[in-house]
Amino acid sequence: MPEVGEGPEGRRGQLALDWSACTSCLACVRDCPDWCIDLTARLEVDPGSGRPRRVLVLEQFTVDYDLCMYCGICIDVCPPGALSWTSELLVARPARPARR
Amino acid sequence: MKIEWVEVPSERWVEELVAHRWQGLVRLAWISAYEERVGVTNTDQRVRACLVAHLQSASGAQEVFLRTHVPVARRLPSAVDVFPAADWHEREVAEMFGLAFDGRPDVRGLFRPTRPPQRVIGDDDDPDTAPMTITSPLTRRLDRPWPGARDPARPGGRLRATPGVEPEWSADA
Repeated sequence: MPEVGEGPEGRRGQLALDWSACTSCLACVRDCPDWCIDLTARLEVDPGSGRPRRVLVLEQFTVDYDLCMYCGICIDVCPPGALSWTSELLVARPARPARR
Repeated sequence: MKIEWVEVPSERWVEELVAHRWQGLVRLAWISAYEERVGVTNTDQRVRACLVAHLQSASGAQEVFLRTHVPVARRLPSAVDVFPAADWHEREVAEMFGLAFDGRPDVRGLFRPTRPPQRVIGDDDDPDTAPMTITSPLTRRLDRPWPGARDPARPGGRLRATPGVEPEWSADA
């Protein structure tokens, strides 16, 4: 994993997901031009009041930043607005110390 | 900073670049292109190519995007006489979008090892076609399964068709 560094305000650093707002609709996954987002969700029966209904529970949300081109389409298409940019940058560093 | 978009008729493309340079936008940041569907019905397959130039003042305090709709013949006058920096950008646009620029000394491609595209529509790996056009098949999308194919609300249900991929491309078809 690359290290995380501080970025300036407003910079497209990483994608942040509000897990409580996400409805697992896959809009971000389907509209990503690079196919860099993967999302898994399971069906559960909501024990809330009234008639029991089945709801999707988000299990995993991953972004492959090797593929992501930081276009932000996923943020634009997210129906509940659960996605946003953070200013934290993924900093590329050499895997091995540089040779002298 | 407010960014200004200027729509330019294609026959006045170079004249408008000259006019904006005289207004102090002396730096050409880049030229690029995109395509958009302009059909009015689902079966109307008309596509329009647009060329965009990004101009800046010397200090960078002012910037303008000039946009023109490319004629159906996909030919435009070259801007290299106005902005020498347009050279590589026009070569890239010619190679990737299959547009032609008149009055250019150098029409070699930049990214792909062969001659400029001869056809607009065709295969991703075919050196004779322009890969960035809207109608260019996305054959690389066959290499891995689409993550949006399944519907989590219907486990075991029918998979969705991959966007940009025609069913007849698959190996078993």
